[in-house]
This record gives sequence, structure tokens and C-alpha cells, in this order.
Amino acid sequence: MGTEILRMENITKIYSNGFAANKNVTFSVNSGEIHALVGENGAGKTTLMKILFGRENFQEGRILLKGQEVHIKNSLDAIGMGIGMVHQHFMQMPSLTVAENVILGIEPTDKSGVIFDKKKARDMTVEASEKYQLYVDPDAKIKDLSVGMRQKVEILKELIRGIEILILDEPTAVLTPQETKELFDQLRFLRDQGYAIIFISHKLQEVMELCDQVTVLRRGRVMGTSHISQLDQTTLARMVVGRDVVLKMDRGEQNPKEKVAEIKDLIYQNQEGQPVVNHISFSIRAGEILGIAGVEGNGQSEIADILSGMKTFKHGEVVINGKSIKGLNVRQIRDLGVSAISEDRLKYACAENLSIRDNIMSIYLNHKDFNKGALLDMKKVNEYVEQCIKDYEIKCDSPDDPVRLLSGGNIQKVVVAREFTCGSNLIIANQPTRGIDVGTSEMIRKTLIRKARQDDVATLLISSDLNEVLEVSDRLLVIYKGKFVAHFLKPSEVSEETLGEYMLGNLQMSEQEMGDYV
Amino acid sequence: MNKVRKIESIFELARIILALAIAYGLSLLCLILVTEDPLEAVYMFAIGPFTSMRRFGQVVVKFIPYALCGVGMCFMYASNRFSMFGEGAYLMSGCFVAVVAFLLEPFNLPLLVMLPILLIVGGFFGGLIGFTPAALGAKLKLNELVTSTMLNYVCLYFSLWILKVYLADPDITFFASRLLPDNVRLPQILDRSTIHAGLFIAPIFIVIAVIIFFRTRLGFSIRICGSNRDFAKFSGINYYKSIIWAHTIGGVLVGIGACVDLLGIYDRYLWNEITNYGFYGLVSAVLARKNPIFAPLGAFLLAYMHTGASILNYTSEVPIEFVQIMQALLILLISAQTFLRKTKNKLIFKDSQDAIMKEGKTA
Amino acid sequence: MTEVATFLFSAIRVSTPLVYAAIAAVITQQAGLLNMAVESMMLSAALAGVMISGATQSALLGVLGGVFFAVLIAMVIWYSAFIMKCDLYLVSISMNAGLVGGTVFVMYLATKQKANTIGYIMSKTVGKLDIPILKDIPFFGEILSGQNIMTYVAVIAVAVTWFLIYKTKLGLRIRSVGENPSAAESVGINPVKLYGISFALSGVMAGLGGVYMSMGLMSYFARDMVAGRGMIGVSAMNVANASPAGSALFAMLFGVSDTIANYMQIIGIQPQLIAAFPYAATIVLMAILAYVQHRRYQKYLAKKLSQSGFEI
Repeated sequence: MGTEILRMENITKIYSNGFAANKNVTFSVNSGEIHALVGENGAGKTTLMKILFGRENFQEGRILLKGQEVHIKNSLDAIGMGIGMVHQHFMQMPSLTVAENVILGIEPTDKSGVIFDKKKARDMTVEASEKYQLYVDPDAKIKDLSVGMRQKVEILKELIRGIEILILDEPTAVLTPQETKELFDQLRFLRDQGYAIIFISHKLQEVMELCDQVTVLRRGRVMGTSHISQLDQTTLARMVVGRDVVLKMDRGEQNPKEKVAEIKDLIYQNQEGQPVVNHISFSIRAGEILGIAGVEGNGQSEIADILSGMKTFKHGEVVINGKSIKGLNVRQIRDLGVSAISEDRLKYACAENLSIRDNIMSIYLNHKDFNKGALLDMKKVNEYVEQCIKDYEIKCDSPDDPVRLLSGGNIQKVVVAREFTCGSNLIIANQPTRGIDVGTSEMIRKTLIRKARQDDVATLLISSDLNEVLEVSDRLLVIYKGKFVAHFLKPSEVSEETLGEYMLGNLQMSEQEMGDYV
Repeated sequence: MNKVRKIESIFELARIILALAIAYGLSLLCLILVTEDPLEAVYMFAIGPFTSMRRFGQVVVKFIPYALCGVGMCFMYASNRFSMFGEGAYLMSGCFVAVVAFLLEPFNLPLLVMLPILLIVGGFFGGLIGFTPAALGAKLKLNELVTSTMLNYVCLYFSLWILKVYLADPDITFFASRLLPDNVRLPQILDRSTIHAGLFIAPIFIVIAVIIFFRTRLGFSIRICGSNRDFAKFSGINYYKSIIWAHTIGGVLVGIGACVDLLGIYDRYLWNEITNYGFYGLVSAVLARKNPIFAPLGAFLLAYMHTGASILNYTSEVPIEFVQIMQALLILLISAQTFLRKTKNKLIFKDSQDAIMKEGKTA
Repeated sequence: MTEVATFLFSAIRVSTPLVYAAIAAVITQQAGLLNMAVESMMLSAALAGVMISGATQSALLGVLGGVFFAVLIAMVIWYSAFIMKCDLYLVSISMNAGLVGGTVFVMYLATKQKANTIGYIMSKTVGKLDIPILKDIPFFGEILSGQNIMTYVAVIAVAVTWFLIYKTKLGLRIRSVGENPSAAESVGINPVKLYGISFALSGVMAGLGGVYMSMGLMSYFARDMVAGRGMIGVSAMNVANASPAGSALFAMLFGVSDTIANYMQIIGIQPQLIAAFPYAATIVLMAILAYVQHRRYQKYLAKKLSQSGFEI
């Protein structure tokens, strides 16, 4: 193990909307080690790396490279100082060749300095790929390559620029098992050459297998840094997904009734053809909250998108209120009684430049209560919007305020007000409280429970917040690699250690243990 | 919060006024440089429209079609997909309104019967020209701007062909149709000016359009689609359907504008080049920041400037075309996100800092 | 045979400005930007060419002046769109519309005329070129020799553009910005700067096309004389997926439809309908090609999905 090469000291970053993404974070990496940076989405990993790359400024703290304090203004600076990053979405030009992608920005030219020397670029690529044992075809076009190959190109591109610290952002998310194995061998090889590698992931098994050191972030704070050999997976899991405080919710008596949604043998393939949802069957009953827990990226978002109509599926069957939703569009699915909260609020759940009224009305445009002949009944619309603002305590001056002027919590209140009051009997709540203040979160959770108890609404709750899934859900399914691995009937009595084991795929329930969840 | 919104709207207004002032000022400067009698030129351009009833009448007469086109273009602009169907829609509507007027001439129907028929004809052909590029864009992903520009030339030559073959008056020396029948001419409502009954017809359609824009499902859908396409999908709104409707309605309004304009001030149908009405509509819509309620205001400003320029044109022979450059400049300044942004952000930042300080004290 | 040769000769003659327009669109498209303002760049170059060659009595200076003004317009658009952050389409539309009037305004100041400059500006034209040896070859000589010099320059321009885009460092950077600006930025390439360069180069090509309109195809400037040719160039680029040679060929195909239109006059079709023909043909052709491409892309996607190495 080498000496300390990078040290980020007491970094605090508060965004302009008041959200503290990093709180007093200290993170250091030695050369010749693979250092895992783990945490759920929103834990502050991305922000920390953006700071390292000069893409975000920060309020407090400093960055030391080989003991010297540095100021990194942009990604070019970072590359110049020997820091390279392989993004989750590859920074590549699909129609260019491998060699062209690798040397972009440091293009070799002929003597005139104008004409691009393709042969030299090719030679440089071949030479580097032999040196680093990353064998790629320099003449192939990126778009014809597999994801694994593209990743090699990306790593090569960083190495050829003479970097010493290599950051990989969730590199295995899109790889097949064989490709993952190959990647790990290459990373070990690089480590042995003295490179410092930062491995960002939330697949803890892989972290245990590959890395030397691990730093865990949770809610913007460092939960601990430790040598892998001193940790077992359960402890690690607890550090990552554990609860700061145990939240107790009064859920009242549960009284599940008929099945509202039935999912049978559902398969969903992503663009690479990877089966992200793999032969899944389950059902949700009226009056119950079904939670799905799982480390992110195991297929839960895709389930939510399929149920709300945002993604289409080819294999399997989904029946909602007695009707198959295969081939239906979002409107038709919503008309069956489905409402949904999206995990990406600003992209899918609101139009920032439009007023609160427009945002609330977006799903009611065909609703007969609000239509009077050809026109919308503006009196009813305004009454309804005012009622929403009052009931959900949306802080604003008037329904005409554009949503972009609201805080994150208030935007989510607008979303929730819209989706919860539309009379649907199936609510798909995907990360309903992510990045939201405590008060609003509690209000949303209480409303979810109230809807289930009073109105017999069936709810699918997907959340990375353990408090939420354990305390709000009536039943809990755990998803791992696109399949359910556990089913709990009393989630609030499940310990987080046990849950962690299932979420990481260490344990799997047998058919009998799972019981009847279909 | 309230303050931020106030600052934003004040700056929005300030930007438009400043942009107008800059564009106007530059045009005046330009006038001073090119004319022999700059004082007279500036006077005519700036005050000219108010110097006689007849001149003010010209402002109003121009304003009528501009306002309709402006409201129409608000639909296109609000849908956030650009299509320049305005020029083609204007020509085709005018042409077919003339054709139908002549076709129905033998029946000698009263104006009150003819007018609705012709408005429907105008609206239909305008809508068709708005619809075509949008539909091609939705089905085949053709760029609406390219298709609509091509279509404008098709419309131009097609309408010229109809004019030549079916409408042309052989007894006159210039290229125009026979005199439009009396039963389709809109009556003048003020002596000594050309102001015609279109002034009462246009508001009807503008009000209908505003109601569609703000008070119907379709209007909501169009605004949501133009603002955030993903959100529209998530809410179950059919994106392409909304876009096609937005462009079709835009075309209908331009067509109605053409119809009212033709019947109001022309003796004969004689349009023989690409008109700029679609563009004028867009300028009005940009001035109104996509809000059809304000589009007539933008249209009025535009009509005023055009009248000033045309008065100048026949008093001092400065060509009217210089206002076109001015309009281009206006669009640039108003749509520039960075124009005055720094000042605005500084104020908002200061305001929110104050708010945070206050909260800090109370907490 | 002679008729065919005459037909092809005039097809090339008519296609030349479309080729320039297409190439102008190709250069910005390679950088990922759709250049809707080719039209206005050509128009301003056409006027500037006439006025400057009239004033200096030098065709060369006229051409250079025209190109200069086209580049100037390109830079105004670039500045507005990327520094002042206006919507690029909105700027392009307003330039196209504004400069139809703007050029008439300038023409009027110079000549007191609003329709054209015939008889008022004694402008120079770019000459024709007889190519030795080629001109003596029967048939081909009749078609290919004796064209305007600007036509031959257009051929060179296509080649130069191809070389620039595919063989130079700058071209590689332009293409990379066009495909993935943030990736280009991550390796230290400044997209805004490259947009500027590609717009300027696009201005050069559009400028040459505009100058040809008023100093080659015609010998005067007339109101709105470009008349959608810039947009036809953009369409040609669109259907050829921004390949320089392909775009030039499609531009010529559109030019042929223009020539066919001229021949239709002989069989007695009204000139107005004929004038509409090339534009209508462009729309129809674009629609057909877009349909074919769409189908092909769907098949490609399906194939890719079925080839993935994952087991279900």
C-alpha cells in the first residue's frame, strides 16, 4: 500500500436552496489501493466527486493532492492534476472509432498541426492498450461495441492522459457478470501498478470482493472509513442503509381487501437487453401498503414505471382493477385508477415554469367534474386548487405562482396533492420523500397511511429510506437483481441487519418462507 | 417568495421596455443617418400615426390582422416547437376566401351569411397549413421549420396560379382579381379612415382563442407540453396531439386574420409575394411572452411602428423595410436570457439573503 | 443527345447554390446545430456581392465581400444564441425574416429601387470556365465544361468540407462536439468556441452560394432572391444525414426537380405551378426518405435487443 495521494478535508457543501449535500466530509485515498465510496443515492457521493472535479464549489474545507493544497476550477484542471473519471454514462462519441475517442482533446497531428494523424492516434491507442492490458480494437466504432468494451475504452482514455487517480462511478451497473469479473481483474492490475482507484458503488458484495478500503456516506456525512478486512458485509450494510433514529409510525389496523393490482411473470429488458425485472409476480390489495425495499438499481424503479405506464413491457401480465394494462398509454392507465409519484420530481412530476394551478390540473384535464361542456369549469378548478393548497399546506402567495419559485418540499406537496386527491385506488409512490424536509416527509407518510385505512387505497411504496419502508409498509418485499428474495408480513418488526442481508443478496427466502405474496 | 415573483415580473417588463427602447432608438438613429431631413423623418416615424385620423386608421387596420396572427403564433410559441406556417396560411386563406367569394357571387347572399362562410373557409385553409408541418413532424420527425418554409413557397406559387387561372381580371393592367363582390366587403365604421368592421370581428376570435388557451383542456395540454414534455407524458397528455392542435389553431387564427384583412381593406385579391404576417405574429407573441392576452398589445406596438414607417415611406421615401431589421433586433433582445439577467439575479439573491437573515433571527 | 446535355448542364447550373447551402448546413450539423439561417446568410452575401463588385468593379472583391457579410451574419447568430442565450431557432427565424427587409432597405438606399438592381448597379459577374480537353469530349464536355467558375468552386468546396470534417483535428473536434458536447467538454474542448468556428465556416459556404446567386446565376440582386434555397439545402443535408458528398448529391437532386419544372413549361403547364414544384417535391422526398429511415432504425433497435448477451 502506497502513500496518501488525495485528501479531501472537512468538505461542506450547501446548495443554494439550503440543502446540505456534504457535511464536514473527510475522504482520503492512497496510491495503490482501491477505495470504495459507498452510499445510497442522495448520500452525497456525486456531490463530493463533482467538487473534486471542479464542477461544484464548496463552502468549507480543502483538497490536498500529494500533501499540497490545490484549487480545481474545472474538469480540465482535474485531468491536468492527474484525476480521471469514468462516468456512469460514458463520455463517448458513438460514431467515432475507439482510437479517435481515446485521443480526443490530445489529438496527434502532422507537422502542419492541422491534419489529424489517424495512424499515430491508432498507434498510441494500441500501445496504451498493451501497456495497461486493456485490449480493444482501435478501429472499431464505439456504437458497435458492447458496454464492457466501451468501458475499457473509457478507462484507457483516462489512463492515456497520464492520470494517477481513477474514479469509477458505478462501473458494474450495466455489465454482465463475466464483464464485471474482467473489469475487476483489470482494476487489480492497475492497483498493482500503483494507481489509486476510487470505486463508487452501492453493490456491497462487489465492494467486499474488490476493494481495500471503504468510506461510507449517509445523508451527507461520513459514517466511517475502514479497511475491508476489518468489516463484514452485515456491518457494512448497516453503515450504508441503517437508520439514524428509529421512526415510529402509528399505522392503525390493517384490513386488506380485494386485489387491486396483479403482476404476473413480468419481465423488463433495458436498452442493453439486460433483464432488469426478471420473472416477477406479486399483487397489491385494497387498503394495504406494500413496500419494496432494495438497493437502488435492482429493478424497483422499472416496476414503478411499468405500473404507471411510463415504460412498456412485452413479457408478462399486469392487471389493474380487473383490466390488463398491456399496450395501454399513461392516460388509459391513469383512467383505470392509478396515480403515481415519480422519483425524479423536476423531470417528470412538474412543469417548473407553469403555475401551481396548471401543475395540479395536469392530470384532471379529462375529468368530468372539472369540465363544463367544452370548457373547464374554472370556478371548480380554482376551488379545488385552493383546497389542495390549504389541505397540503403549500406555502405560496397564490395559485398563479410558478412552481420553480417553491422549495423542494413545497413542490412535492403540489405533486402529492395532485396525485393523492384524484380518487385513484392505486398509488405508486416511488421515493415519495427523497430530498425533502422532515415535516413534509412526515405529512406525506401519514397521508399514505390515512389513504390506505380510510379510503381503501392500494399503495406500492418504493423507497431507499429504511425508516419509511419498514414503518409505513403493511407488507414488505425485498428485491435483488430483478427478483424478490424476501417477503415480510410485519415489516416494523424486521431488524435492519436482517433486511440488509436480503437486500444484498446474501440471504434468500425459500418459497415456503416467502408465503403467499402473488 | 412574493418578492421574488415581483422582482421577476418587474424585470420581465423592464426587459421588454428596454428592448423596445433600444430597437426604437437604433431605428431613429438609423433614420437620422439616412435622410436629408432627419428631424422631419423622426417626427413622422414617431408621431406620424397620430397626426391624422386617416393615419391612425392605418394603425388600427394593420393591428387587426397582426393581433389575430399574434394570438395564433402564441399557440405555436407556447408549444415550444417552431413552425413558420404563418406566411403560407395567410396567402392560402386569402386566396380561397376570394375564390369562395366569387363562387357564391351569383347567389347574392347578404354579408351576414357570407361572412361566417368566408371566415370558416379562411380558418380552414389556415388551419390546414398549420396542421401539415406539425403532422409531418409528429409522424415522420421532419423538422417543422424546414417543412413549413418549403410549404410557404408552395402556397405562394399555388395561390398565384389560382389567381392567374381563376381570378385574374383581364381588363386591368396589373395582376389582380376582379373587384370583390359587394356582399363580402366589410363596412367601414368611421368616416375619413379605413377602419372597418373587422375591428369588431377580431376581438371575438381573440377572446375565443384566449379562452381556449387558458380555460380548456387543450390549452392546458399545450402549455404543459411546451413547458415540460416528460411531465406531459407522465400526466397522460398526448404530446404530439397537443402540438398538432396548437399549430392548427395557430393556423386557423392566421387564416381568419387574412380573411378579415382581405374583406376589410382590399378591393381585389392581389397578394403576390410572401407576406410577413407569420413573422409579425411571432414578434407580437415574443413581445407578449407567449401570453395571448398581451399579444394584441404587442400587435398594436408593431402596427404603430409599421404605420410610422409607411408614413415615412411616402413622405420622405425612406423604405419601410427598415422596421424589419428593428423587429429582428427586438426578438434578439427580448428572448436573450442573459439580457439584464445579472441585475435580476443580484436583486433576487439579495432578497433571499435578507429572507435567510430574517429567518435566522426568528429561529 | 444535345437536349439531354442541355438539361443536365442547366441542372448543374441551378443546383450550384443548393449545393453551397447544403454544405453550409452540413458544417453546423456536424457540430450538432441545425442552421436555419443559411437563407439569410445567402441573401446578405448576394446583396453585398453585387454592391461591392459594383463599387470596386472587381468580381473577386465582390465575392470576398459577400462572404464577409455572410460570416458576419453567422457570427451575430452565434453570439445571440450562445453568448446572449437566445433560442437558436428564434434567432434564425428573425434573421431570415428581418434580412429580407433589411437587404431591400440597403438596396433602396443605394439605388432608390425596391425590386432589383438591374440597370442601377453595374456589378461584375463571375465568369464561365471552359475546361481544356474536357470541353472537346462529346456529351460530357457539353455538360461539364463551360459552367460558372463558382460551380467548380462548389465542387472543390464539397471536397474541402469533406477533408475538413473527416481528416483534420478541427473536424474531429467539430464532430465530437456534435455528438456529445458534454463529453467533449470533459476532455477540454470548448463547445461554444467550436460552435462559433462551425458557424463561421458555414457562413463562408452560404456566402459563396449567395454570391453565386447574384453574380453567376443572375447578374443582379433582387428582393428575396434566395427564395427558400437555403432551406432546400438544409433539407438535402437532413436526408443525407449531414454527409458532405451525400448532401451535395441530394441538393443536386432537388436542383434537377427545379430544372424539370422549367422543362414542364414547354409542355404547357402554368409557370406558377411549375415554380411550386421543386418545393413540393422537396417536402415529398423528405417525407419518403424519413419514413424509410424510421423503418430501418426500428429494425436496428429490435436487432440490437435480440442480440444482447443477457439471459432472461
